[in-house]
Amino acid sequence: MDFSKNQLMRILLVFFVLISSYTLNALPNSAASNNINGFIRDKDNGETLVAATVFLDGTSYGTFTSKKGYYNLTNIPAGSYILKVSNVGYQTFEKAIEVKANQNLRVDVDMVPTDIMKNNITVTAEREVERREITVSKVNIPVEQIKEIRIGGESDVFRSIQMLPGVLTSSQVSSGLFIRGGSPDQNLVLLDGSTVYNPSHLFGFISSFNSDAIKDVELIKGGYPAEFGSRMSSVINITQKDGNRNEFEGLASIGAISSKLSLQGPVGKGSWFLGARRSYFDLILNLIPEDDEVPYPDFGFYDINAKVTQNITENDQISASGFLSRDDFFIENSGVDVTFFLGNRTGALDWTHVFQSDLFFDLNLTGSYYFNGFKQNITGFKVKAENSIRDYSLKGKLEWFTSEDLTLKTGFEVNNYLFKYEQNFTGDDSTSNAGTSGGGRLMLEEDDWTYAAYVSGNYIYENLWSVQPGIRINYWDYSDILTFDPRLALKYQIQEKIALKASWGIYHQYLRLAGDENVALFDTWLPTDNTVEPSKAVHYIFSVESELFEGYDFNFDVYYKELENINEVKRTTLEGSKVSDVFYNGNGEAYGFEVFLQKKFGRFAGWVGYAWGKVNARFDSINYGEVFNPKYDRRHDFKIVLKYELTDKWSIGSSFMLQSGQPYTGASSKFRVNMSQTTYGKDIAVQLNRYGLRLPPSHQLNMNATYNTSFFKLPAKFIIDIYNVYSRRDILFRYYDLDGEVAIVNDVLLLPIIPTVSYEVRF
Amino acid sequence: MKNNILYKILPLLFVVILLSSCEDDAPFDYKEEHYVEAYLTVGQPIDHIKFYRTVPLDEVYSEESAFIDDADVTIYSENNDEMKLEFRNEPSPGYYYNDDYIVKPETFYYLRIETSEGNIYTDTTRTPSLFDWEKEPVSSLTYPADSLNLPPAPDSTKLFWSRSGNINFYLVNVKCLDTLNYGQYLEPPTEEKNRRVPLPFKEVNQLYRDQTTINLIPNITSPVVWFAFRWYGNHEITIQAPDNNYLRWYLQYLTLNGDVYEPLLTTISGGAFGVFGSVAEIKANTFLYKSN
Repeated sequence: MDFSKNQLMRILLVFFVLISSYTLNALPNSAASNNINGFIRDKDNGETLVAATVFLDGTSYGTFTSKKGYYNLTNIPAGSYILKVSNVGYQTFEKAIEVKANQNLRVDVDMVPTDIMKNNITVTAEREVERREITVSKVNIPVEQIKEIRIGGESDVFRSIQMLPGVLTSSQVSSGLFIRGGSPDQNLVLLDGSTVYNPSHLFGFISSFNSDAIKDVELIKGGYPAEFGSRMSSVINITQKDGNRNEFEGLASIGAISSKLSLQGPVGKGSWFLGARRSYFDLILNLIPEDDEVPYPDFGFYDINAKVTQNITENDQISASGFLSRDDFFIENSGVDVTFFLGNRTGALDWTHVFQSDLFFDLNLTGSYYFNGFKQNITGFKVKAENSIRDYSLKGKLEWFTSEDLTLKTGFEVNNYLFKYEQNFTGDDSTSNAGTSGGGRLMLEEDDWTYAAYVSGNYIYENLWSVQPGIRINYWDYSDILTFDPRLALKYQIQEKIALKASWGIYHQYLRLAGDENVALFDTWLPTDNTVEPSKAVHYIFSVESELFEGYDFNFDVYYKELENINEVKRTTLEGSKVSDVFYNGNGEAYGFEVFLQKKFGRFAGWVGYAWGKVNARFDSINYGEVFNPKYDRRHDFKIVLKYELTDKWSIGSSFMLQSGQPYTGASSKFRVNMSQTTYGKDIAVQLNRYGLRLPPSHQLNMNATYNTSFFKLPAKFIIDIYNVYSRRDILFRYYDLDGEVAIVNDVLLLPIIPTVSYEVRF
Repeated sequence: MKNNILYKILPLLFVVILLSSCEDDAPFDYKEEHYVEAYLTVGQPIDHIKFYRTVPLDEVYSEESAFIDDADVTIYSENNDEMKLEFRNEPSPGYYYNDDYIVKPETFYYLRIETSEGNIYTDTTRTPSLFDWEKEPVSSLTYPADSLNLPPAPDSTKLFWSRSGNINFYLVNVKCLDTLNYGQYLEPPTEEKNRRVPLPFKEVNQLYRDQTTINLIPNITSPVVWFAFRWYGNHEITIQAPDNNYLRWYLQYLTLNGDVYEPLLTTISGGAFGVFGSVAEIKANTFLYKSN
């Protein structure tokens, strides 16, 4: 198909306008139905609640609240009902209501938290089954659960996600997530709608999301609906806290790695939230005497989250949120200064409008800027390499609950990207002009637009079958590529508590990441230009979701994923101006199954998960064109997370993982390289098949104990964490050490046992 | 009760044993391969053509066990010159030589190696053009080892050279010519022995032993980097303009891939690995004084 850019723009706009017009024209008809709708909030702080269950007692009418906390029940026959709302950690809400003919009944509910919630002892990784949208392989992780999984005393969003079956990392200290055979760049990480391009601190040791500032984390491991695009593997959708609408509240904590402070309170017709976190290695190191000949490196990080939410009218809510994070590393020795830095800045403006009880609109304007760099000053001779990606996006979404059985959703997305890469080895640190190449300077700048529109519908047939077709159309300006991503999901409700689901979809990816799988330091995002084909995945997923016994969820997923035009970085490239100079392109496939058993409530709660998976990759230029298993291919993945409330004061928790070892590359012989001026040379091992061997299995046990106490009558917590309880040091990588006369095999080991304490006070 | 506990633990133990059985120990089985390390230096006779076999990982490396001395090695130039190479152990052991031919700049060369078993390995290189110092390096430098707060390096200590054709990357080789003696080069001479420059980091042993350091510079000027000196005393600085093959082999030498060979950095055809590359180079001597 050969369209000009303007033609394509018109097609996309007409597509959205037609769908929207059709939807808006249908309004008079929809107003004739009997509907119940509203927002569900926490009574204490006014936060909207995601995925709360809303139903009419004794009927089949029910739904779940959206990420905005909104629910809608349509086409309810006139009559008297008991409206019930339930959510994990809250008292069930009940209210008698009267539905009259042609009435839109607005019922906003304030849920009362139970003691379980207040004490933060709930351990859930709720697998949400939404009635109006079939989402396969979706997991919601409440923030209380995130706080229980820690590394170095630091609770972490990505560490929690890693404890789910089928989610792997390149090492136990990396926060890059490999989900069902997809690499970290194939995960769409959204924070209030803004894309976060490198959500890591300490080169990937922990993520940059402060768990005190997070309200909800949603992971879709595959087969996601047409609403989401631009990535091939998964969606990690994070929502920041709105803030307390009723009273001022604060939380201060001090831990081994960082200290945190969060404040929140009411303002106008809404709330505000401000959270900040800062490491203090630099402050501690300043107190320790330093040897001038072997100085300490200076490093640290900080992040700030802020959000303001206002309810302009009963049907209009706006919010503005922002996120800043930055890491710095600096060392000076023998006249050479070396600086590394990286950071993220995001901002989001969101407007939610309820046109009618059954028509919901959301407009999201976001900006995201990710940068990293390296600077060196060699006795006055300065060199630097920096890169960044700036992304402005506008997203619109219209959701129409046309009837109890049919939901339509349509939307658009426009992105403007600016990619910059600069290196300057001329000796001065001046900035080069765009397009400069040669003489020690390289300055690449690329501005690009991408457009997308989608439509999807969900139809329920006799409360047993659901079908959800959808399509997403993408146009990438610079490379002049138009892609069609059809999606289809099916659901069959065998019994009230057992559902079969299947999903198929095509997913194209515009961005490519040049980075290291172990260290999130020089991550460089690049567009798809004319020299490379678009990356593409096809997902096939079958899932059984059930509640075996009261309070016990059991899920079984089987998946197969085809991967086309995936990337491996050319580590041998020294210069280039095209995307094909940076990557090898290849194909792959991933398949496997996952079993997940979870107990949500009670003094004893937690989950057990097991995943079996395989990833095959084939690149013409790698491993002599033969199929290989990438480094993150682990065959077995077994995980347990448990939490036990001993008393009102004490609770304990633990997490355990056991995984197949990572693949590594063996060697068959060695040779010696002598450059023309060297006098000794250097021995190098000749490799066998790439990643043809496997390291020993990884396993690790972490434990924590929390003591609830008070600090000058303020509620406080004292937390003891033991990371890697039995000090089993996992292998980061294995290599042949050729320094001696004969080769020996060495392993680079990861962290031993790390006990830490932290203390937090709520005010 | 004990039985119950055992019942719960047994499945876990079974999984651990099952997974443990998946581990592969690092292999040391020997598989012989042939490799070529062939460089031409503009203005020099042909004196760096190596044709070797790889050696077992658990054996001590020796030139004698590695070199292949019975191959038929020939280099052809674009001017129809045909240079037969002769295997010798002099001046360096294990090389194929031709002392009669001087390598020309900006010239295309073709290497052909035929083994006694009839295998044929080939590669080509185009020699870089000549270049020169823009400003001769200073004849002596002083390293202030006792003062780590070094001032900005003055231009007088920087290296400046002209561009060789369209080459963007240059190799700066710093070779210590005498690791034992220091005082005998002073005025008046002394008996002082040479010693190493203290480095703030630990180098791998193989590099630590070598008298030469090599640094890749994407420019035609470079500051004096103190880390480039492993010893004090008499040094030779060689700037090399490499062709793409030699540059690739330098990346192999750097072993960006750990200490494991990277097949993407080889250019030889026919089943062996390695390169046939070329450089143009300029040299200068400098003396590194201890500051006190």
